[in-house]
Amino acid sequence: MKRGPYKPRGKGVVDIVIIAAVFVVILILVAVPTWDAPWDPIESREWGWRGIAMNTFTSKRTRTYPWNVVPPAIPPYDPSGEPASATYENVQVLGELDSARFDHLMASLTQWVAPEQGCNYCHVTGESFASDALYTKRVARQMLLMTRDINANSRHVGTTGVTCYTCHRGNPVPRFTWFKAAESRPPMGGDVGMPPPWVRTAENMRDFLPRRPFEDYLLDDKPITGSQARRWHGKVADLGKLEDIYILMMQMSDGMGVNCNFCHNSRAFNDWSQSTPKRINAWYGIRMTRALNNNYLTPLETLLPRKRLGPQGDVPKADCATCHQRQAKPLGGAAMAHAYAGLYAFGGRGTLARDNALETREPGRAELMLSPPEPAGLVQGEGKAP
Amino acid sequence: MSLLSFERKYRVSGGTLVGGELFDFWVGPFYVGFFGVTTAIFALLGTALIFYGASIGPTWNVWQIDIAPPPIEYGLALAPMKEGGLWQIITVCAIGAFVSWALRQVEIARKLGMGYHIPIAFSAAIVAYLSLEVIRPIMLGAWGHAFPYGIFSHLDWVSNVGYQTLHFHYNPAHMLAVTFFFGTTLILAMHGGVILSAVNPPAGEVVKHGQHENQYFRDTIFYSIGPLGIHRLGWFAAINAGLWSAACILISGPFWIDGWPYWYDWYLQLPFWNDMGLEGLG
Repeated sequence: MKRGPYKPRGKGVVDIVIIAAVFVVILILVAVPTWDAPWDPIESREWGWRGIAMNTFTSKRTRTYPWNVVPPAIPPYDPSGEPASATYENVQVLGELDSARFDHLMASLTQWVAPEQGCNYCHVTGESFASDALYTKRVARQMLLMTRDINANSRHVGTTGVTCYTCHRGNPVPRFTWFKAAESRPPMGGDVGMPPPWVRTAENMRDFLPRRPFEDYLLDDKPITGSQARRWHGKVADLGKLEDIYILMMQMSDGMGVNCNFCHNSRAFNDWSQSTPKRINAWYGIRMTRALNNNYLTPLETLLPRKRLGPQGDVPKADCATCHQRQAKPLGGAAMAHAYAGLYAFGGRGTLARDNALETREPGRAELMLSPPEPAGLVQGEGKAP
Repeated sequence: MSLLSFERKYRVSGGTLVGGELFDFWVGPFYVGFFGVTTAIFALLGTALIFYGASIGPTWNVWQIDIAPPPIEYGLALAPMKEGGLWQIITVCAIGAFVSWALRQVEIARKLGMGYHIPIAFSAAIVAYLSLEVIRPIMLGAWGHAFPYGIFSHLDWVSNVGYQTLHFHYNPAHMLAVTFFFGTTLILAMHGGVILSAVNPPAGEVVKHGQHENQYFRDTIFYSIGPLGIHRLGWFAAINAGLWSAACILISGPFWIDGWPYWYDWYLQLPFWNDMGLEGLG
């Protein structure tokens, strides 16, 4: 009897199951994540010398975040010729402003911060406008002081100016803020020193990163150096600190919708001479954020109710995303503040000191800031290399 | 040049794809063929242009010589010679030389009655090169996204492209590619080690053969894929290394512009987590 070759039973079924499983996995990986696509189209900009890929990208998804639309402005009112302090009582910050301009600013900031709640978000119905009964009004006063300081004194913001809308975007509390992390109480030690809810409540990868770098760099004045994993000024880099800097930089690139190459040539992150001029503005941005958190936001602790505070009882604080909201220039660089004289405190007592300006500390680096050409100050073409 | 005793049987005429008998001859030990000629032309022209590019550049320092693609403002257009046009011609030469070499391998395989395993494997490397220099730049709309020809400059490109997506090690296709690269080199090392041991026995012992090779791996790692299987496995892993590295760069930029770590948010945001009643949610 002739025997055919050995054929195990059911092998065809196994093959079909494997092929079906691979097909399902591919289908899930194509369908579930929010992919971009070259036909969006992907737009790119080059910030370094040609060929070394210092490029940033935007896609349709990142160009059309609904919150980044510039809202229609309320047309300015005709000036009344009378200061607000004469028209209204208890005007502590904007007393010298023309009362019509004051009204214009009040109407606008209601639209910017509390469009649904309206005037009564800060003013009690039926009581005088002068009443400070609601905490929201006292917070708003502090925030006006902050905005006026930024517009008059911030090197980072420059002449563009900010308004309430830069951060609030129609929300009483800005969309992107940060709290100190909850006290870690892991039963049985938890997972990698974090309590169990942490692994289950995370909605994106950012939630997995420790919050300590935010406190170190955006609240405390810790130096942000040592980013190279080698000897630096005779000291070996502390890799724990390296991770902290990485986390700070991740929130920065994520908050601005850019990548590392917007500021750095990644061959030498620390080297200013190989970085783009954008890095200098970012340097000022970190210091401005730190000053805002310490001078204006942390003092709100005594004003805000418990429900607005974080697990450690701290106020919601600012990082890069608070204003930028995933754009390299908040609201595409729209100069919304220019229509509001009340948002500038020229000659006022600003706390955003200019005396640590780069020009005075390190004039060599500051030269990079002179007349920044587009893009990035690098001259394309032959024989023009600096 | 003298002919080795066994070489005569490899010198089979015919099997050419193009050119018939015109180039069907050997120069010394090397088969020429139509595609040998085109390989030589493309390779010589490309190399000469690289030297020309170096000569009009700012340095003869071999580390710093840089022939870069056009700035991305040029899009997919032809660029002036000194602003990336040279790079464009050199890229055409490189593709011409690589593809010619693969087709020359096809002709040799046809002469010897072999399968096309070698040209297919080499094609995987060509596909990876084309992905970097042609396909991805076209998808992103500018030749400027391709890598430059220069030792330091192309390393800068690699580093910066990695940081364009914040952390390239989170790229799932890159994970596969790296695994296949390390996998194929590991099994090559294991296979090479056992073969060298088997055919170089200590003085006084006989040369070992297939059963010893199998038994060595059955003793040490409880499995031997066999003397034929190891070559199929190596071929499969090496080709996948090239193809997945092509895939990982083609999705970085054209299909995903955020940091690769954030790609995994889709898993954390699956709709059913909130319905599972896990501790700590809600």
